[in-house]
Amino acid sequence: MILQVDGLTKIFGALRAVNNVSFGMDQGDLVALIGPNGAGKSTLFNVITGFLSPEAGKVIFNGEDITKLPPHRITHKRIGVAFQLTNIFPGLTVFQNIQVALFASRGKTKNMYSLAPKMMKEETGEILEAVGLSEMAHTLADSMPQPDKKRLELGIALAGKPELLLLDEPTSGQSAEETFYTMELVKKINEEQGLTILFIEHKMPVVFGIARRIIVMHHGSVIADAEPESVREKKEVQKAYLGEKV
Amino acid sequence: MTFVTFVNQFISGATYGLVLFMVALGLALIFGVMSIVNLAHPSLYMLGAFFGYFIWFSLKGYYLSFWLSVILAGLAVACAGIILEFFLRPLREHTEQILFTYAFIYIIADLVKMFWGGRYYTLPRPPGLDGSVTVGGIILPTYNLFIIGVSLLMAALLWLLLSKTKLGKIIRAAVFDREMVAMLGIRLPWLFALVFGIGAFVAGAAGLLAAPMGSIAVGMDAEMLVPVFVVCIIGGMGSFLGALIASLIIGEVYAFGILVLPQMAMAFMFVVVVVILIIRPQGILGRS
Amino acid sequence: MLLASVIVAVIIPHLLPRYYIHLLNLFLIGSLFALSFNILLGNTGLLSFGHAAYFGVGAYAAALLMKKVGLHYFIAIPLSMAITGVIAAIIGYFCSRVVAMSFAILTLAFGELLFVIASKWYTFTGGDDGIQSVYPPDIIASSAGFYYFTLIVVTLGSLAIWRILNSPFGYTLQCIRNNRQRSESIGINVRRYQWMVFIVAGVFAALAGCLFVTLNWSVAPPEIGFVKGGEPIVMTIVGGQYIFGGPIIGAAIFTFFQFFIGQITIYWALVIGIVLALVIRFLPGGIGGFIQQRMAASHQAQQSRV
Repeated sequence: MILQVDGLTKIFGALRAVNNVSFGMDQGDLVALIGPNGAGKSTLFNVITGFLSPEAGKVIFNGEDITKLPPHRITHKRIGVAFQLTNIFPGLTVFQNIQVALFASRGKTKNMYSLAPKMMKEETGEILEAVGLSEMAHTLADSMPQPDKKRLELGIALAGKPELLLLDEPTSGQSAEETFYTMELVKKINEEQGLTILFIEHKMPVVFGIARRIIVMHHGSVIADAEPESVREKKEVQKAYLGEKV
Repeated sequence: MTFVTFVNQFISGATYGLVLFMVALGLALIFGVMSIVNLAHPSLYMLGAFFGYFIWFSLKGYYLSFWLSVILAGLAVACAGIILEFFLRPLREHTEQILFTYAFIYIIADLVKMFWGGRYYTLPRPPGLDGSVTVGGIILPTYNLFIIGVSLLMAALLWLLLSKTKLGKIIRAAVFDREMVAMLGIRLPWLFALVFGIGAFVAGAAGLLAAPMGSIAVGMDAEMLVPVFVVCIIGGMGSFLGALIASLIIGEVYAFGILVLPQMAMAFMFVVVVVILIIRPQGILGRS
Repeated sequence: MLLASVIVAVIIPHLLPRYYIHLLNLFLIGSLFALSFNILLGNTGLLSFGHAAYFGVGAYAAALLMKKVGLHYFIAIPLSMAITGVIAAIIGYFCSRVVAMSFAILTLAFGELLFVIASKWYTFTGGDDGIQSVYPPDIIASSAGFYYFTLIVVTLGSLAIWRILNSPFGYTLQCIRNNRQRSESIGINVRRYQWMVFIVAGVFAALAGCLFVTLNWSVAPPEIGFVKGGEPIVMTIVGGQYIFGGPIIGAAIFTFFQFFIGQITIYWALVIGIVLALVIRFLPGGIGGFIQQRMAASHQAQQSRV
């Protein structure tokens, strides 16, 4: 069990955004997190990655309690995140975006004397290749179209050589073709590199297409956690999506 | 330290603190509604003192000349503020706004020097408030008590304006959702100009009101700059109550600090700032 | 082009009258000061109103080391930089705990505190008079000699800054400026890096201050205060915060402007305020940014003609 989430609760005033959520993930799992809007999925991610602290519960990664750690330390534990709203470095080029992520994960950021443009060119190239952005390497990140920014987002997350990858709506805003490409990529890194992946998605074909397990959230709680077929059948899930009507 | 000294310092500190509060009030209003950090706000305070002095000088001898001067000075500074806001409008980023208003510190300071020279002026206290009051055997300057009263009154009026009037409701709505307010047909530019004007008015009036306690000179803006912003930061940017509490703390720390280390009372203020910011970086009543 | 400017730089002290060389020195020192400031602003997105504090502390430290401890100037310089580094570390520790606006005001407040200390601590810092009669060592005491020394030190300092800004550390700073949250999530401890960059910027400002104290033969509290703190701000914004050479351009404009405008009117601050306001409003990238845009545009125009 590489990730263990135990009784996690996050409250905002009167709202229980995450309500006593527990689940586990083994190494190599490819799990989808779904649920209607406002179910608490992104909040759950924010708690796991250290941007929010929970009122109750624990997050245990590789046997270590990481609940109270700040985001930068969690990254060093080899957990990577790709955000929902694109969160890249707009003033840097695509190449530099990946480079810095590499610098940060290899602990090179205190180096004040080497010339950065010459460093880690190969590794940067590999990641750009993997997410299909090699041609745009020297474009300013901010000037790219949205779907490309999403790919860069993924690239930045991968640069940290994570063991666990959290993807928040990796295909949002992408066309059918790009969605297919992204999901093939996700499947590939899971199968080839054994990366454990938890992703939030709204596009059901994508979810049922590649996830080996689905966790469903509603109003902050987990209402289902099983293989795709059984989840499809569950009445509670249908209720949640159709708004209490069966 | 005797009881008499204590009370005197306490009143003195409260007076100073509440003058800071009046300037901070305008700042907090402008920041709260428009998210603009107006570094030149203390300069508006100084402008109020200068405008006020010369208005008073021209009106001298007339009945209620002091009070009229306060209002007119306030209005004059409000106009200056509105002009500043107009130039500030196209700038969207915080850093740009801070730097732009920073430039105006120099512009206003030099304009004041240009029109009124580098000398200082003294303004006598208005009749009726120039004496002292004996409370419980302790002699206190009437004017200080007046300032304490007037600043609290101003805060109360502003609070009433914001919470009870229609205009106040619109302003508060604009803090939360500008676009919505605009869609309801309210002309945002006018609203913002008005808010800036109110904030400037308060600062300008405070400038003239505080003038009789010291002298009117070109360095007034610099003297106010750090303390006023420190008050805003400790109290939490945009919070009126926070500014009130913070200004009283700063005022008292300064007043008692002078007894201990007369040359460097400022150092005590620093200790307070540092301590508060370590415990609560967003300020006493700031949003995190 | 580079060779030409090097030749000009070397010959110049022999061609110009004394006062112009003085201005040139002020320009060089100002460039270094502004470059150190821009490490914070243009690269890390941190606006510090109290940067003069480190310039001043550097100057005072060098002066005191030379006058009270009797150290040689060349030893006083690195020592002064180290001392300033420690002070920057202390102040920076508190300042890096807060963000944006609070940071700006807090740096201002600390600057003012140091100003007050310098003005009032008569026995140590000479109070309002400051420290007088600080002379450079004989080798560089001549007008040309001092100029060459300043030129070399400023050039080396600028190259060092350039190197730092283009190192992984420098890239990390740019990340922080671009997107703090993302920086955290790629593993950067933003607070710690803000602290580190504050120290680095302070140390280079101190170097500029050391040069200043022997140019000026004295140092006084105004070199620490609010007004001096405005200089690198104006230089950097007017020259352009987004390109490396921006602060240097700004320093040139500021230094020569100050001299020429100062001859015409005493309302020099008014002029600077207006210039600053106009640049912020109409030329956000500063003059340097403007030139760069023009060059890029004409480069594109040329390419499309082919």
